[in-house]
Amino acid sequence: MTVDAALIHKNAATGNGGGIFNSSNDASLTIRNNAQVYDNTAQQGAGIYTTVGIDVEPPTVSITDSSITGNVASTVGGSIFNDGCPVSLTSSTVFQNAAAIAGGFFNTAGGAMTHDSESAVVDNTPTTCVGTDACEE
Amino acid sequence: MCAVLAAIGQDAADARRKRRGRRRGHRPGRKKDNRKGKGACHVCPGGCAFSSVQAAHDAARDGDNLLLCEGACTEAVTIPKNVNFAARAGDKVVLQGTGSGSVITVQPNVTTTISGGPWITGGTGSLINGVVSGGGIVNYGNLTVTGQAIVITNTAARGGGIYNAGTLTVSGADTRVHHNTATTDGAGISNERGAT
Repeated sequence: MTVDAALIHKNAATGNGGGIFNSSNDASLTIRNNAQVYDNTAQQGAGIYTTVGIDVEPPTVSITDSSITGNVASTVGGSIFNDGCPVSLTSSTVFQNAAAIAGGFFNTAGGAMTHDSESAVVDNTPTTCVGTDACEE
Repeated sequence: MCAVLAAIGQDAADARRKRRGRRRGHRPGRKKDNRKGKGACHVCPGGCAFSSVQAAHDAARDGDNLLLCEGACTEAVTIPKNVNFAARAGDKVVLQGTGSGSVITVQPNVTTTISGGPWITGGTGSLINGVVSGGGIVNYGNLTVTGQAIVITNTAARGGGIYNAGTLTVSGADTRVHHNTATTDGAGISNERGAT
């Protein structure tokens, strides 16, 4: 699935993935070209919740030239909750998201997060990430 | 069936003005409307070939492009053919759920594009593997939502706006998925390609 320049905003999930829930069976997610995921709410992963299924390849998440902002999770992972997937940020911004734990980025064991020097995970509340050094505190 | 926008609270005079001068519609993709600067409307509340998106789709052939014009269509649309849908530029086109089920369902092996700024709203999802999914749209095919299309205020247990089990592209700077809700996961979009 691809979000290209489009806006995913102000959606509200009682569970996980306010903006986008991405799961299993090679459900790759590409966000690019000034796409914005903002002001969504959820329990976990208010912007994006991505998870690996059972006995399948984990879905990949690629975020390029885009932003994840202003999302609010009631528990964990304001911007992205990553449950075991490879996630990459390229020239993208994750800022002003909020959660009780890991306002920026929550990465479980088995997940991988890469980000280039042009990307920034900043000004989230709390500022800390869990499971990755992506956050700039 | 489609109704003038006044039926859902829009300005009645504006709706009448938009409707005025419409001629009988034509078979999708076959003839042109004669109004200057206007495309051939295939679907509108009155004076077009069809007053239902589903009926227009059912009469169309693979590869046809259907133009939707000002109005609110309350229906559940199932898309089993490679037919594209576009709202006419400048018109407000609302595809509204019936109160039960998804607004649009794209079947497997179908390639379709929804463009031109229609609102897809008021859907409540379809039962998929025991979970009410895809309030606005359920996609099993190859769906592109683009050109200022808006998926708004739909609800489901998962995939409040869109439930994708096929190939989905949401593109364009003014294309939005917003103000949808999910009682479990994926309020905007639930992407579960390959899900059974």
